Amino acid sequence: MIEKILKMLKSIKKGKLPSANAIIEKHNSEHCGDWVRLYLKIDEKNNRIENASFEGDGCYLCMVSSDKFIKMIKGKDIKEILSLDEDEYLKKIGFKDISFQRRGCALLSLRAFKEYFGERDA
Amino acid sequence: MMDVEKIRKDFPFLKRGIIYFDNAASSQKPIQVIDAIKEFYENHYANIHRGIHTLSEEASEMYEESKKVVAKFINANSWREIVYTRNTTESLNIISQMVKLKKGDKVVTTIMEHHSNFLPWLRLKHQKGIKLEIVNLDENQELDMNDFEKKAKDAKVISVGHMSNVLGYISNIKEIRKIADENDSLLVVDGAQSVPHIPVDVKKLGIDFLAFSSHKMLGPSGIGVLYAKEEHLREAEPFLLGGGMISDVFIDSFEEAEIPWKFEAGTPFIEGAIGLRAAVEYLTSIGMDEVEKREKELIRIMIDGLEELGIEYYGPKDLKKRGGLVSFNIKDLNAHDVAEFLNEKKIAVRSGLHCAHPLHRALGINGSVRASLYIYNTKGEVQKFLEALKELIKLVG
Ligand SMILES: Cc1ncc(COP(=O)(O)O)c(C=O)c1O
Repeated sequence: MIEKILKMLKSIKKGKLPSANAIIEKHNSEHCGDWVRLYLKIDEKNNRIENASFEGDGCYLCMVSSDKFIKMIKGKDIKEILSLDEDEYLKKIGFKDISFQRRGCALLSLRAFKEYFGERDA
Repeated sequence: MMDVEKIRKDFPFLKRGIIYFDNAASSQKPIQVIDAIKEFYENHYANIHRGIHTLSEEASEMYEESKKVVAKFINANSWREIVYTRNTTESLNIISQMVKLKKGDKVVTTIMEHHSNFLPWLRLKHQKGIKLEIVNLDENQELDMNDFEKKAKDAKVISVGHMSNVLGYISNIKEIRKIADENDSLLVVDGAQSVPHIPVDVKKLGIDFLAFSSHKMLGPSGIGVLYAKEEHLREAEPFLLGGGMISDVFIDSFEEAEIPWKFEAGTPFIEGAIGLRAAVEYLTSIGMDEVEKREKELIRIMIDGLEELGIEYYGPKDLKKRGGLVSFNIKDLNAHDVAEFLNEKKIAVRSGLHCAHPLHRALGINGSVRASLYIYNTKGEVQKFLEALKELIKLVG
């Protein structure tokens, strides 16, 4: 398991995006110290994510999921991302079996995005 | 000498085969505590102070007896100085109201405090305009006593953690008492991490108010202790009103009950008190000197091992100033991932900010892994833990 985690962590790309026109930051409310900052370059004409990147610190679930989130949203409509159901999303990024306590870790980036664009999930 | 193998037989959770190093968060329970609560439920249960009948008599006496045992444990003058609360947090919140501060009064606390000994004072700063001074750490990651001396000038209250739940550092309460005496300050001590692990004598240390939690010292969760010198309790106003805390009520007034009852409105956690008593008796039967000695022995092995592995850990290097816990970080790894790895090896540790955000900020880190020990831990467990870390470091490369 740890080998798998370390491998996933090595493949992550973090960094700023100079062209970003939206920057979203969210800390995990579990006061575990996990946080992400999403950099989005939004094409204002058609509400599409042209480019994206992230920075942050946290457990592997949080960092790996954020990396996958960034890859997933590039080129997508904001609306389409907002319509993602949390369970469906976890399945998509390969974390559907995580424990209840850790859901917040893997959902941090999606939740940050949804909050920013005004659609809070329950 | 403490017989660890005998002690381990008393802890049913060990059947799970888990190496439990999360004792600073909460401890496991010996069969004596579990049985005491069961026995109480089966044979003596009733509400206290409210009945003539036999069961109520027995329950009331047992509840009071619990306070006598706790009072003796910390060398309080009398059981009347023991108020039961829910936990350390509740005790400290209540204390912050008991000391009756007004605008401009100074409270001194430290950067290493758990949020429970920080937020109640911070609120008073914003609500009432008290002055809040925060003592820093020195270069050894111990409390900077020069800074303490300076900031404590004319302080009404000094409120300090006896043992940091992150640094493992044990405050020099005797020296802090001297500073308090020079300034005529009240001394509040957060004993959440000290009372379970080292001898604490409120008289010798000159403590005015002490807070600690049963769940960190082998007892049930949901019950905590607020110790205060009798004179302080007599002066303070009750914070909850209702049944149990009065001696008489008229349609336009009431008379308070004696201490400590005036601070315990409503039906308390009776079985919690029964369990706490059993826990204190268990610890007393071992002897707190022995508990401390044993933990020091183990933490020495652990810290030596961490140093050998080149792992960065926090708090003083001088082991005489440390209790049985250590927080650390492994190179580029996130603390939670280290904890996850150890969990796979059936080793339970805590990771994160440990309810001490200002301290982590001061240390310049976004979290740490904490291993904290107790009487049932063994040298073998510490070795396994160190081997696991060695393996992890190798994997990270
Ligand atoms: C130093 C210190 N103070 C206060 C607390 C709070 O204890 P409780 O959660 O039992 O109120 C803790 C426990 O984490 C602690 O370690």
